[in-house]
Amino acid sequence: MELIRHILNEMGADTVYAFTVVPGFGAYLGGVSAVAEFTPSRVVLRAGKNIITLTGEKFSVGSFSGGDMFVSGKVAGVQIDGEGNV
Amino acid sequence: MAKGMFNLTAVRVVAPAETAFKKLYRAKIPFYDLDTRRGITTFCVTGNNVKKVFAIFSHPCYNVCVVKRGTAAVLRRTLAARIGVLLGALMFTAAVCVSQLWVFKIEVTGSGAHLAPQVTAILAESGAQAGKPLNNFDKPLAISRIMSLPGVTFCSVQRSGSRVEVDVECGGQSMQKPSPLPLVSPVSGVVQKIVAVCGTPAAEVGQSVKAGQKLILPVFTSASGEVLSCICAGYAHILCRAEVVTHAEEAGESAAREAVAAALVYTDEPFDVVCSVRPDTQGVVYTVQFSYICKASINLQ
Repeated sequence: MELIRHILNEMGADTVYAFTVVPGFGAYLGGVSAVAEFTPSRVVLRAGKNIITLTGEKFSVGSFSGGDMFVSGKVAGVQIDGEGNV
Repeated sequence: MAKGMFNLTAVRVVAPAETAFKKLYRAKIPFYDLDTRRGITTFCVTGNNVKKVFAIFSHPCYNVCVVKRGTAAVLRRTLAARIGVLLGALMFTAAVCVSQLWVFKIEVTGSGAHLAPQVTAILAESGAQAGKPLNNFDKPLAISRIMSLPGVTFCSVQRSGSRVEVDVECGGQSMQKPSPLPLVSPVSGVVQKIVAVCGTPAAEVGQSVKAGQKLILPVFTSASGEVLSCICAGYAHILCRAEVVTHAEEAGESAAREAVAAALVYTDEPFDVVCSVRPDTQGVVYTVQFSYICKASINLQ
């Protein structure tokens, strides 16, 4: 994971808001600043200027600290929208 | 609960997850295992953030409650509530440990109970003395030395708390009362071997001693350096030089043999035998010089 983060940084990507999805396990998201909706099947949160919507099953927040959030559960879908209001 | 985090306190708030997240985020409180059901959100925070959680939610008395305290917090509260019991248990444990290192009584039982003074002395020299802490107690050495006492056929040394129980069994034959005297050399010579089972040697191997000189003293030095009296038991081998003079009517092989045989009065095993003959008014005089080992012992069979 550090390698790809390093590569993305070298290429000029902003990895502060990067996220990683592990199928059947959960999702790790960075730069989360707000949660608009949180249910066991749907999580809508804001990371920077993006609205990220996770859909799936049995969602719960495994941990949250300093903007880094781990959502555990089965992630079935991820939707990224541009700047929006939360 | 998050793996490896044993100090997490589970908190339940009457608020939707979004609201809980917003308040925790603004207060910069890390949280774990956030879950929501029917408008009630449950999450875990570290023990030092519990007060902050109560502070950031409105009407905390009604809306916030601690579901489960962290292991460290539970342990701390339990210990604080039972400090007296804890101190008592610690003092009891310390007392037991100290008593295990201390000898308050030495009991000598069995048919060899009459050897209690010697046994006690041997134990004291080995590091176990009544009223004093154990000092590098060498149990095998103590048993072997007790077994060397006269008539002892069995010995068992057991510790029972702060007591030392010694079972000494002697053979069926009647035992003589042990002598309280020191071992003295019956002859003049050179000490070849000296073994003090109980008591203190007063001579060294190679040392010249005179008849009547003390070889083993009825005292011992305890592990703490204290000199105490005891009944000594041991033996010594002393190399002696002696001569016998015999008369014969005339010199001959038979007369020489009789002269050498006279040395057997002193010992069965003479060595370095030197026989000389000289004339006398009544015949001849044989002089036989020889060496022998004199074995002296006390309180040993």
